[in-house]
Amino acid sequence: MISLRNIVFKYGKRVILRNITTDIQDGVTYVIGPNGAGKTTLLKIAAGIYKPSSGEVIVDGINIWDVDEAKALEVRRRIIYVHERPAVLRGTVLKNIVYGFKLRGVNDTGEVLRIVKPIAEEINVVELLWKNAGELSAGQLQKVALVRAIALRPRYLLLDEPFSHLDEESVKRVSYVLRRIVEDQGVCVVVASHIREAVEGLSPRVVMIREGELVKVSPEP
Amino acid sequence: MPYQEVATIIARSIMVSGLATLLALAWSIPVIVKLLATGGRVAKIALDVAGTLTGIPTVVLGLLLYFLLSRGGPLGFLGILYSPLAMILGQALLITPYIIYLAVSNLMEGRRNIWELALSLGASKTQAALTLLQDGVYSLASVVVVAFNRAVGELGIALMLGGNIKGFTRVMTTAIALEVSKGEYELALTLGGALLAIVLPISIAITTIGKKI
Repeated sequence: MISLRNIVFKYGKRVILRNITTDIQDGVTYVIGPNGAGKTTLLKIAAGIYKPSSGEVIVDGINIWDVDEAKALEVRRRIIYVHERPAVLRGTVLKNIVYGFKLRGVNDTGEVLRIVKPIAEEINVVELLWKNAGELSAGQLQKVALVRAIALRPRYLLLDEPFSHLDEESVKRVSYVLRRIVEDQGVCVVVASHIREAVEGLSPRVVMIREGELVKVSPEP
Repeated sequence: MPYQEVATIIARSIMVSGLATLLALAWSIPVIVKLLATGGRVAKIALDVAGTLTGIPTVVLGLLLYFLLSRGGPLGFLGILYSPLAMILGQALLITPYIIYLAVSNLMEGRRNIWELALSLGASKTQAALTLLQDGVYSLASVVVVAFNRAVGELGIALMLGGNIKGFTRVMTTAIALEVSKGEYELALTLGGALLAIVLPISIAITTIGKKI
């Protein structure tokens, strides 16, 4: 579980998040709110990318900003955040995917390909693996970034507007894969979205934020 | 001035400033990685210091180094004053703040998405900093070109530490200054043209490549 305790995040004098306390539990959690509500910042704080101005981020019982760097890194590697417009490194899609494995000491591209191919097939992006990542469309980037993240088998997968550039067919495929990893691998999936209608019915747990404040959690804890 | 001498001066200029750039790059890269990995207020202060040092007049730096390297100075025992080595060291010191300031600014601000990507995929801060450097190699190349251009075009250090000795430490800028002082404007303009002919194509090539990446 990722516990966010009294999270405040300031950018200069601007307060982006105000005293947010919530938990990311097993299953699927949706973080919803209008544009600029602070969803992306909240996810990046939960992923350990941003350090909160105050408050605690506790992942599986470990306060990630209160332990040494090696321990924090070990905990951070359980979490992967995928941006709405994912960044890519120069080179092929496969090189981008291999990068995460290299960080974990796996340098054999063949081994990586063996892990990645079934996921790429499910999301229908196998033919993109050898393409230059810089030439992909926004929708292709979202799918490839998802493959890159899932292949690393994270405990927590934080997705920022993951369906925003996908067509109907791709949304179905991605939704299927997300449900599968939640059910089969026990991955905690967090989806940030500004469209309430698009997410309701898919998850029993919804965290709603507006102007940096937590306005509702359903079902109530 | 015979053609052969002009060619030698141009070659010496490129060699001295090229080696100075390589030397500055060699000791700047660990600093750049450290600053990128550290981030926060410490990096910002260090960056502000580097930014301020880019404005140091070359004659002031030349004078400081002259006192250090002169026979009575603390480093006088090295006996390198009025040699190409002193010029290389001086120019390397001159352009180090440029390399650090421009590289860290470009990589930190311009490629924040890559930094966050690296962290989100499980990189340590040092690994993320190295990824930034690797992925931003063309950005770094343009910084190196700016630094080389600054080194090859400076006069104060070349004059004070090199001494403009014919056939030994005379480079384009000191030769131009000398020819102007003699009233030989035509030759000075030729050397100035040669300087531009070296600096401009490299800048254009790097800018063009950078835009395509």
